[in-house]
Amino acid sequence: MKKTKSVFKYIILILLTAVFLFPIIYMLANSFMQSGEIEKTLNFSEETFKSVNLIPDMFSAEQYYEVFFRRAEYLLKFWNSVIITLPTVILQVVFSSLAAFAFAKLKFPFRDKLFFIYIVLLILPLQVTLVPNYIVMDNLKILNTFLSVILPGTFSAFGICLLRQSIKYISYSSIEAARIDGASYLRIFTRIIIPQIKGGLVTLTLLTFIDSWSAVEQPMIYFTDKGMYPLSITLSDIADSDYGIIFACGVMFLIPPLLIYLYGENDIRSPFTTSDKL
Amino acid sequence: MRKKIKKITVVFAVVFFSLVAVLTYFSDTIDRMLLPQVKTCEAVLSDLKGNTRIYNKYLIPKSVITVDGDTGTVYYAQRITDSGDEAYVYQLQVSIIGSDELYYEVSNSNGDMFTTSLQLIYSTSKNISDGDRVYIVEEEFDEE
Repeated sequence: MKKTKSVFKYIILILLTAVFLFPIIYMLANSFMQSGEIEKTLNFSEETFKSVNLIPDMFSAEQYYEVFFRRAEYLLKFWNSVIITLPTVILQVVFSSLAAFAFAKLKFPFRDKLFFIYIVLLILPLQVTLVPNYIVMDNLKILNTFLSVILPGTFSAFGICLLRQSIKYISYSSIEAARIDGASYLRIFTRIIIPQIKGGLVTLTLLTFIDSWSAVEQPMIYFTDKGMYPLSITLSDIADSDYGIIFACGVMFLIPPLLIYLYGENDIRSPFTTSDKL
Repeated sequence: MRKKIKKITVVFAVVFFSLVAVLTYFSDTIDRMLLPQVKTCEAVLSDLKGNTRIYNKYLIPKSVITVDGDTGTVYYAQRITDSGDEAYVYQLQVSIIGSDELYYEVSNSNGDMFTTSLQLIYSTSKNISDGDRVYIVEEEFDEE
């Protein structure tokens, strides 16, 4: 009875895994097909799937050849994504961890009320803040620059909430001991807090990276120069793009988040607890 | 095992980003090397007898045209930007009126607009077809 239950559980898990992995397998399979073969199975203009083919008739690296050697615009868009994402992630992790430390461990007037305002900001959907942000960017004269996407992404209520929860687990006694030894708050932050919230930092890095890496609305609204568009917009613009190239670009687009996940996989498992090494 | 995965991930990331950076930096050069290189010339408004005060009769070198009976196919290059050497190739049908050792006398066919300003392709490094992107190479002449 126990064995049947276990087999049944595994069958369900395998089916669920297959469902979630299907888009990635489909993208990988199509990226190795010739453009003619893809056009036979897909017709985005008529919004129809003629058939689903996961095994290429003839294995071809034509799409990758086009992306990496013939169509520089896709490589440039990849770097646009990097230019937008990298500063956003670094700055957000820095600012969120500092703010989270202040909200969790420092005592100052209106601390809890300010944190409540942050929680309210967290509830606001992105679309609500797009127009006010646009007006602010316009007044700052940074529209149509990478800063217009990087700056709003730098301050995140979600990041502060996530890291505040991680920092809350750290006992006051270690901070007080450091204060008695004459350590400044910055030293306490870098030497005591940061090493203990590694899991939270890696989790925030990965989530911010994915959020910023796949941003579509903000660049489309803040950029008028299409040359500044990140790769995420090209991948979602299936009407004007070459189907085969989109699949190859999708694989290229998938690699950086996957690398970050693989690098921080061990730490990401415990974002609210201290690092395993401590 | 975890440390090994981390190390492999870092190495792969460095290789991946370096490769993409190199390919992006040299993308123009690589693309130009892979494009068919073509040489072009222009048609002359004239007939085989040398009359230039005529309409819709052009002399074109024999290397420009692929003949099929009384008609022929020519390829011309249209520059993507005014100053650049990259161009798109278009196909055009012409009617053949006559020929001598060097030239064909042709005229417009099927409503296609043939003019003396077209950059007619007479030499190409690779096979070309309608809509292809090509790189126009300027003919170098000896000073002598």
